[in-house]
Amino acid sequence: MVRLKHRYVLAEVKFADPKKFYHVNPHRVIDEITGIVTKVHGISGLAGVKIGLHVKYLNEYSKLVLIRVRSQYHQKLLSALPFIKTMPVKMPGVKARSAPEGVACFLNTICVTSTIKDAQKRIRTYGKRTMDRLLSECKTEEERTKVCKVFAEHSQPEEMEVDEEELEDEKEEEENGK
Amino acid sequence: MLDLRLPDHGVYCDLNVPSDNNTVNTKNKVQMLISLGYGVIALSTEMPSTTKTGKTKGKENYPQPQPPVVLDQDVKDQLKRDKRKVLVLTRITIEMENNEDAIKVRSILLNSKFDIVAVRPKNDKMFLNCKDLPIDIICMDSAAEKMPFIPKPNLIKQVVGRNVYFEFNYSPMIRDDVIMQRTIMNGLRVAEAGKGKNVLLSSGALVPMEIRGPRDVGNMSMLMGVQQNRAIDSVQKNARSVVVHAYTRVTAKSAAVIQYSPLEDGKKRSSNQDLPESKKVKLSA
Repeated sequence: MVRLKHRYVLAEVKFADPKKFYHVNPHRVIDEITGIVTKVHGISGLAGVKIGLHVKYLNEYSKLVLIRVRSQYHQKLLSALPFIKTMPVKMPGVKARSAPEGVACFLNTICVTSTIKDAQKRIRTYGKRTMDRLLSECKTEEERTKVCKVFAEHSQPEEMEVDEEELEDEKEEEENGK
Repeated sequence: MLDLRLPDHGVYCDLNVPSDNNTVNTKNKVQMLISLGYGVIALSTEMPSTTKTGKTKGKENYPQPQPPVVLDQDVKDQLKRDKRKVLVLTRITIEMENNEDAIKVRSILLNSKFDIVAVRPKNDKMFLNCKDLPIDIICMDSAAEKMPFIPKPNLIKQVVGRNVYFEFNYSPMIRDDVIMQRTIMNGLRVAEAGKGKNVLLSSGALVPMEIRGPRDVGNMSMLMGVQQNRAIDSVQKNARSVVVHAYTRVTAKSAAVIQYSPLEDGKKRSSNQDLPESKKVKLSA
């Protein structure tokens, strides 16, 4: 039985102004990635990357994206990701049916893992680090309680759709580790 | 222990950040690099060749290094909390087309106002000339024009044996498609001859949004034929050896380090003022 292997790429979307809020859609992210991979690697490169391409997790507040790719083609995706210049993004307060505008941004890869569990660990440590940094900048206790509330509401890395194949992957990884 | 101006192992370096009189832009670029995780930054000034500017007499017309960058208070507090150090160096890139440019390079090497000296040769002749000079970086990036010469594999091997690295810029690649094709072509040629170990990637960014994270830059070197396990070396190991080479060029032939060793009894050493007059060390004025 051939086992399908995947790679999970954790990236952070960085805009020019870090304090503004944008609505990022996972379908737009996939459109942008397919456009860039055709430009760098051609049509045959896109075909390999597009088989298992899926956005597993996207948090608009912490701006973290988790992308899944087949393991044979993850090098093609990784070498094409730095060329992204803009992303179609909806501004808050605009009507629902208007077309999204392109805003200047880039993706910063944090890590590449082979299971979803390792990626969730990294998301948790990244969230703790940003929370520590924001808490150290606060000066009153009210601001600190506000920050803790917002983080508790909006960071839920466990709510991800996990397929049966990925569950098998994680079981085999645990057995190999033991 | 020792406070040398050398980075530790495993620190990400960006060795080409063009700096002009526009201080706000350079400050924003340096702050963006710090937030992405870089530890060594080199601000560069350009020196065009004599075919463009005409013959100039005297050493006073050489460019001077820019004044040091003053960061915001938020960034300084953040660096203190994380206990991180950031090295900011100065660098000059010289275009070489004539024999007069070779004379300029030698005089700038003796001057030692800049920390890192880089060269951009435009002919086969100039490439042979700069093979013997104690230069840190050879810049293979004529972004706006077609690549004027193609280096031969024998010469590249001789240069690589002396630990001099070939540098490419990645932000012109992001701006334009034709430049992307040319730089990847040149990068493949150079990496073939040196088995993928002599490539350095740095940004030639004009705007803060053209800068990429260190792992992304390492993945870009995979397009030039470098293996995945050695891809991050183009930002880490090769760049660090360039900084060490520049440091050893400025210091003397040999160096001695003087350091107090702890006393066996654990007592404190007496300073020169506490000793009686007969035993004091007298220094001539």
